Amino acid sequence: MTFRWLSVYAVTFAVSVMVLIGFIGWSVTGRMEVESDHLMHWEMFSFDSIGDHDLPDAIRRRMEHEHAHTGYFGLFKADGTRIAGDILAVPPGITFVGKGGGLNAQGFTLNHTLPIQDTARSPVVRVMAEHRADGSQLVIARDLSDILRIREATLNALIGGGILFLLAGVATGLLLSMRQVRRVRDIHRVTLRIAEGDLNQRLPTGGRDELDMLTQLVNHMLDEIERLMNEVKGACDGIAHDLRTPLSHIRTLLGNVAGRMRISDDDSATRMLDQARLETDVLLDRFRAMLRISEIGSLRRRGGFSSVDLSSLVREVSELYEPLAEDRCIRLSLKAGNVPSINGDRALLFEAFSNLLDNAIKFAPDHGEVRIDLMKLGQGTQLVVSDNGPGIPKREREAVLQRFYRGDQVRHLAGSGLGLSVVSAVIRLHDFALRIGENGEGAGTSMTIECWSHALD
Amino acid sequence: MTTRVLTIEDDPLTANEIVSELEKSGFDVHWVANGNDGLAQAVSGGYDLIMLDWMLPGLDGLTILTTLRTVGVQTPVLMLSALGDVDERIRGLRAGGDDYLTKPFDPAELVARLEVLLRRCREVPASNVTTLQAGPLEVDLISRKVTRDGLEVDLLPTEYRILEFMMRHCGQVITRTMLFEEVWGYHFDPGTNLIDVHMGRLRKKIDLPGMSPVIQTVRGSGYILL
Repeated sequence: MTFRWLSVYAVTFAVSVMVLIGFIGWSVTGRMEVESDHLMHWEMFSFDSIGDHDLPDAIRRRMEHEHAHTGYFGLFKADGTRIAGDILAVPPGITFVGKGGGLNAQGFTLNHTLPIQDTARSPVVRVMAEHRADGSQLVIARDLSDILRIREATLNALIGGGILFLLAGVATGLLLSMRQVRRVRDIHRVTLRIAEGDLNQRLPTGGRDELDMLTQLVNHMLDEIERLMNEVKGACDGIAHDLRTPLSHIRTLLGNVAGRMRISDDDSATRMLDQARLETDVLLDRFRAMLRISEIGSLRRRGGFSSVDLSSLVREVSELYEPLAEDRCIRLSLKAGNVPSINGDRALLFEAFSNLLDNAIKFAPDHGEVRIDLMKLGQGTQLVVSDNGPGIPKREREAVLQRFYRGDQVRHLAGSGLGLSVVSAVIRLHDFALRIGENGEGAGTSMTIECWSHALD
Repeated sequence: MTTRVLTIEDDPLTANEIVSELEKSGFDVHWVANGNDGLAQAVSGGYDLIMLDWMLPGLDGLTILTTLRTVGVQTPVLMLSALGDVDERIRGLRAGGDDYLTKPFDPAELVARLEVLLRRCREVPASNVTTLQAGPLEVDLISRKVTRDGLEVDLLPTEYRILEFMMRHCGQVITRTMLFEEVWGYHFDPGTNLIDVHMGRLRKKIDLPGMSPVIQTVRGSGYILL
């Protein structure tokens, strides 16, 4: 990403330097051409003031002054025969300036093609020509070699300077962007830790630029989020705690009342009291489960993590529930291949797997079947617990993971409806994923735990 | 000689429940409602057992426990807490607590745990014991051989662990939670009648038809091996 920006920057920089060089070169040398055109034009004027008869002599005199051969002259008859001067022929294809011409008469540049006396090789020249009153043709040329040399020198200087400039610019840009890249990398690392649940972390600040403004804003936001989360968690835990104490008091009092009632023998009242105690127990169970979920959620990540052998763990869970399945003639089959160890909290995983298996056995019909499959996939290990019970309709699959949800078809069964929320809290803590599907054979539920990190999904 | 129990608990209703329940079971209970008095009593009192609430006005339970152990008081301590967190439990046990119970608790569970704690502390653990015996049952701890009236009983590993635990606490009420914690080593509520089913299997193997049951169910509490 950053390197894409860097190359875009370098290309833009290079193009602007080249345009600058081009512009300077063009304007400097263009100016010089205009200057020589002016000179030639003035020379034309001075020749104009000389009579046709005296012109050849004037040209010869003029030529004697031009020892350095910066100027060339030629006077030709209308048919092109040379009368005077060191230009041997009228160069082909040039336009003649009208007599007296405009002030800005323009010359032509001839590239080594002007035939000149005594010179082996014709230089690059600027040429201007006019028709005189008697029909003869006057051609004046100026050597451009000096200008070309200056142009070349200027261009070389500009290109050399430009390359240095470009290198310095790119190097500075690279240094500056490396600094930014490092900061962004720091921010990225801290953000990941925050996403993992460590809300104490704050983004690094101290650049006094736009990025810093942004990180300070995000940090402020994190402060708020942390405060709110603590408040919500505090409120939830507080409610569960505060309600639990009076509830257990009610339970105790009901027990005391029941003790007294046994002395009198009002059967229906005793039954009602038993029912009331049972309901209180259910309430207390739910509060306990709720607090447990909140506890799992607030556990410091990775705190109790160590290497866990999933196949032995699954075998242990299966052994724990096997008698329960047998009691209801449910066939419990376990297929646990050799899988690599994972990093996790063994006790919590045991609790989660137990809950899954408990559910499967609970929802499977008598003489039904529950299967546990632990297998190694490309991404990692996968655990599937499937039963041939009523199954969970598609629209309820999200909802069953929420607290207290119980499907329509299983309302008659005992339980707090919190089992799967415990599972999902444990799964979240491990960054694993839980998928609910149907058993391949048409009916029933299959619960799949994907035991690899889904943190970046 | 009656057993003297100190309970440090700030909630009067819970304390009342503990006191009445324990007195019913024949303990001599003394109640203290705050941490400072609790610590003073615990250090000077000569109690057989201390029940300690985690959250108290004044000194909190963990501080009291650490202080007690630092000054060399070795009285067994049962921690009581509204927090069921595994971390809290571990911290409590590390600080020198002997057992940990989450509130609200079943009074029967409390009494069962106290009995086990008391027994554990009174008996000098004999390391050279290789067999356990209870009535017609005998367990060889080394070969893991179980016999009833001299006849060998074939048990699965889980069944053996349940039986061994029951034999070690012969004559004491063992609750389902205690069994789950001891035999499986996990601290959550497995729910349903999971433990009952395991116990049923074990019983089927050790009580053949016509024999009197060795392990009995205590209604509302758990099991007892007589």
